[in-house]
Amino acid sequence: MKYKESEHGRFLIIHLEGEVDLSCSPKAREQILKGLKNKRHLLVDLSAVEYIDSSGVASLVEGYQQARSQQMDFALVGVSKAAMQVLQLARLDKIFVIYDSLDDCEA
Amino acid sequence: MLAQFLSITQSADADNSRLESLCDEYPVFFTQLLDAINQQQLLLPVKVDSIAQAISLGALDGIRHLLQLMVIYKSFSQYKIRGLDQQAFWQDSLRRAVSARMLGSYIGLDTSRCFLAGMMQDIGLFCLFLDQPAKAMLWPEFRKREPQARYSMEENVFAYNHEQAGDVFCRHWSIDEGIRLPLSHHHTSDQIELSLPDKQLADVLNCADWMAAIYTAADKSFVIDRARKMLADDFKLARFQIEEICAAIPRHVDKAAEAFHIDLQPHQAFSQILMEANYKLSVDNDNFQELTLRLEQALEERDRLAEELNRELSLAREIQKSLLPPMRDDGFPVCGVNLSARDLSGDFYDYFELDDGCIYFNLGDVSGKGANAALLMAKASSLFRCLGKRIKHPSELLAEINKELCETSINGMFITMIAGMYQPATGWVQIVNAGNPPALLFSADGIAREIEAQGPPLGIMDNAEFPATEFYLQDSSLYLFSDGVTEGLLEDGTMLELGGLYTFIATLDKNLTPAQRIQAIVSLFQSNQRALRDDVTLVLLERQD
Repeated sequence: MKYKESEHGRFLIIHLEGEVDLSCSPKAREQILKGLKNKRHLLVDLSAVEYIDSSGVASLVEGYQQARSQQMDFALVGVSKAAMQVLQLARLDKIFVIYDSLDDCEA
Repeated sequence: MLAQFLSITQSADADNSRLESLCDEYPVFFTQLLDAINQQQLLLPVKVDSIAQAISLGALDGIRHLLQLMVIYKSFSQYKIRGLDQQAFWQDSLRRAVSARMLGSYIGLDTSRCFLAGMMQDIGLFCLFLDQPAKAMLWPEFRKREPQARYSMEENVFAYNHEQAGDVFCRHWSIDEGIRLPLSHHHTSDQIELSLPDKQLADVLNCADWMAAIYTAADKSFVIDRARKMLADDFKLARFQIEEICAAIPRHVDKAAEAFHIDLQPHQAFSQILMEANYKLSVDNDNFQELTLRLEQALEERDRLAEELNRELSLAREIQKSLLPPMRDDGFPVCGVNLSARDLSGDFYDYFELDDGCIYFNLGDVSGKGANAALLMAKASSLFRCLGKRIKHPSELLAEINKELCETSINGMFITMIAGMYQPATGWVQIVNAGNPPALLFSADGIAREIEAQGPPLGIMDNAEFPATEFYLQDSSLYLFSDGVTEGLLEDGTMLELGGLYTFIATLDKNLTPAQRIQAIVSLFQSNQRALRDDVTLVLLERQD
């Protein structure tokens, strides 16, 4: 998994790339929680994610729960087909706020 | 006066009458010079009475070197730089000079050239301090280090080193190329092409540096070892010669200091230094043995802990297995199988009968793997069993379990679960899918239907709803499975996927028992040599007559 950050108005964007599995999801989790700890609204860009397993999804879920308890915004953006299949299968597409692209999300 | 003298000696053949008149003019200085010539024994084999006699005996180069040395010493010793102990500085220089002279004589180099070069070896560092006097406070630190470390420290402190500074100095003072080149590359002689005598002098200077450092470095045993090795490998000296040459340094320093009228501080004898170094070596050795012992103990401790951990893991695995229901061969309609990718599984399944004859069954998959997943799995399966005996509708049951899990959710972990209730008397099935892959309902004539998730996984949203799908089972078979099945890798490395699972089930031999059929599916992943990526779990519900 590769990882980088960028800014989009009030949002911090965390870009995850490649395979988000048990070996690297702790890193994704750490970055997401760090962003929230710094009181940032978060967007997680999943457009370059080729594979995500349940531990990766758990990192997103934790981000979602944490953001909700802090009244921060937390959304996914540009979810790749592979990642969307996993989210849909688990009905998580109904839980996360998901934007097709950055243009759809009010910065 | 010195300049006049230097210019006379620098011409190819010295003008003796001019020399003599200079000598008459400055009797004190020339007595000193004569002393130096005579005391430096190596310059000439016999004692001389005058400078002219020395020159006539062929010591012109040597005299010029001596003069240059006296000029440099007199010029530099007048500077007072705070932190730089001049006396100690020149004493160190003398050690290098006499070491270089001894080494030079071993390999047949001009000894006065070696002596001058050795004396000037650290003149570059002196120049660096002159340029940045505030850093002279660091001189004692420089002095304590072995030559290579000192060189690195110079680069860190000055972004420059004494070789480069020495090179500038030599050019400025018109020092012979035969001294300048070796001097400016004595630590880096492998990085430039030097003539053989220059290369030899550079090696002599480098080795002399280490020999002199024996008397100043903090880690003496390291420096002694290194100096001994250089003397043996590069100068082919025998062991007794090495000890002799190292021990002779203070004596030669005393003599040279006398000749040049340089005051000395009392210095340690080589034997004393050796004793200290040996003592340190023995302490190091004790420390090393202590370290080895501690390492052995740590390794033993690690093995013991690993064994303990393995024992605990197998105990945990046993307990976890006991949470799974036993396979029943009494015509019970539900059976299941679980294959763990690790010692502990994050998957689980369960089934049990209620008082009214209805049967609850479920299959769950905790996000992640390992011990934390296993613990959450134990919690979820206990909740299912406990609450299931009280709550008679799967939708309500999962909503209740979900609330419990949300209250204590940790690290975003969640559980996908598919659960149902079967009424054997009527064949009525209610099934709820919370984020799990779809269940497959195969009718007797081979038509399959997917029962997809209607609700999110458990443990994420406390107010989630879990609508049930209801149907009569009749002659159909209901397969529940975790994503480890559809994402499992086959022998050729491809994933089974939902289509593959569907085809495989459709073509299974109808005469196999339910337990044999789910075992056949699991075998798909057991036949290859790959390690399982994920836990593989299946449950099958079928009417038994």
